[in-house]
Amino acid sequence: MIVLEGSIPAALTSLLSVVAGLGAIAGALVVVTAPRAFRAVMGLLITVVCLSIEYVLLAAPVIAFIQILVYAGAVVVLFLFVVMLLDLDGSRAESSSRGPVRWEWAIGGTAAFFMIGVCGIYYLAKLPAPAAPAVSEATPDGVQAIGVTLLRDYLVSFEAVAVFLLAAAVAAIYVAHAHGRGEKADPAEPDPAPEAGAAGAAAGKEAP
Amino acid sequence: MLEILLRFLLVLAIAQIPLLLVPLLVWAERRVSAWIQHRSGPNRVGPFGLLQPVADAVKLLFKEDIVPERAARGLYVLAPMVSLFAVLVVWAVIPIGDRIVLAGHELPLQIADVSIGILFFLALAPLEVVALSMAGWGSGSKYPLLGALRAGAQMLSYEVVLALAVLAVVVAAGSLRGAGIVENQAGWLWGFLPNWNLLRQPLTALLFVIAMVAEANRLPFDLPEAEPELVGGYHTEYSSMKFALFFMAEYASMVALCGLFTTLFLGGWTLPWTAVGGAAPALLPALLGVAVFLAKVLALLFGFIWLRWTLPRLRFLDLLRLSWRQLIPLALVNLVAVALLSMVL
Repeated sequence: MIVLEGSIPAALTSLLSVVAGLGAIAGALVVVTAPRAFRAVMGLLITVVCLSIEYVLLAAPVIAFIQILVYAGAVVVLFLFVVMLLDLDGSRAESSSRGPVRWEWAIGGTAAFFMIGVCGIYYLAKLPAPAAPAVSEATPDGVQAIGVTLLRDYLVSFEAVAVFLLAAAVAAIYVAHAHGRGEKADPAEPDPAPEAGAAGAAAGKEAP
Repeated sequence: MLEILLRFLLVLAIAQIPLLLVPLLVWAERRVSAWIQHRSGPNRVGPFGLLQPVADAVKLLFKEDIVPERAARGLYVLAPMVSLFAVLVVWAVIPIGDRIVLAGHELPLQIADVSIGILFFLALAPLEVVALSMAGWGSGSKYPLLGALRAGAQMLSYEVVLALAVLAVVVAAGSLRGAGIVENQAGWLWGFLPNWNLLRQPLTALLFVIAMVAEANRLPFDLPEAEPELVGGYHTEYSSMKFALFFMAEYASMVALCGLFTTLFLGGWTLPWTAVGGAAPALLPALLGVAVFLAKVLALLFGFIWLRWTLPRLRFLDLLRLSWRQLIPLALVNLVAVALLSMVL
């Protein structure tokens, strides 16, 4: 996999890269437009897999497979689990979903235009690509390089991100839980969990 | 050109391992279960009933292929394919033997000897549960959905244990390459025992076996398809060859996990106290090494079957409790201990 450049013609590599990129964009579009949550998660899966193909083509196989391991193996399965648990007949997600409204189109469109513009300028002006840290070239397998980068060079920011994520998760659960209890005044209600979970899932879905 | 041809033949040959072992395994499952229960088992079709899987396959081929009315067609059709794909593709990184020299070309007996082989396995094998979720949701029916829910929760819980156990081996061996881990197990433990990870890290091996059985959805962890409770779980609504693909995927996942266990804990293709799998890349010892690898895998598969017909099914809460309260803390402690020990030693 490391020897990609040598064994695969460059034309094929760039073709694969374009196909995978288009696939990632298509998957992302499905994520934000799908009327049913399950389809949206499937779109996320397509995006994740296409992105990992790009990583492999960029000679960063470790990132590629960690991407699949974490996102396809854990995050997508967790999302699927929550989606299946929440809307068993698919009715709830369908009724609550709506098309993007005008200001959402505006923000998304601006962001897309900006990114396409940046890529276009790079392409047209033939500017050199931003220099990437030489992770995959330093060591044959890259695992060590990534480990050193994460756990020595950027240890503080890495751990800070972990703490922030934990705080965000706790906050999301708190907000969702308070919401669920507020709606159901009856303390004898046997199962407030679906409501809490629904809000949590909604929050989780907005995040990506 | 010749090298490409040789590699192509190698890929074909290795792909046959799971595909040929699956029918054999289906037969063995029925024969061994019959033996455990003092029955005869299938013994009519062919010698010792060996052709029974062929008969089963023919039967399945002639069944009507049904797509339920409420099914989400795309997901429903795609699910069995993804499921089988996930468990077959991981064979790319399992080394079945040492390198051999054929017509002047050195050829490792492995489809892709990549530096992150074990990571590849860990990343792609769980795609099977995505397939189960697709099947459960796509069928548009209650029992498959319940089965898929159980599969999701179970996989998330036991994937962590599996990964932590594998990590302990990787940390001790200092390599993510399958062949590298096998080479790390060469030599001797206390002078006379094989230097296998099974003997060096028995706790890791135990954790791996428990997580492996859960990953393969086998009794006592077969909650996603528990037939007395959920009819058939995620594959209830499937018929004909789509059902057969799920069936094959289940057995192929057992074979793949046994291959991984052999690589990680049983010294892969090497046979201790003999020259098999030694350093010399001669043809005959290398091929004997492949036979040794297959023998180890078959022995593990027998253990799988034995387990299924011996132990009762766990309750679902007990299953999750076992993972989160006991196995995951134990696996974390084990990982830290292994890391510390391999720094000291």
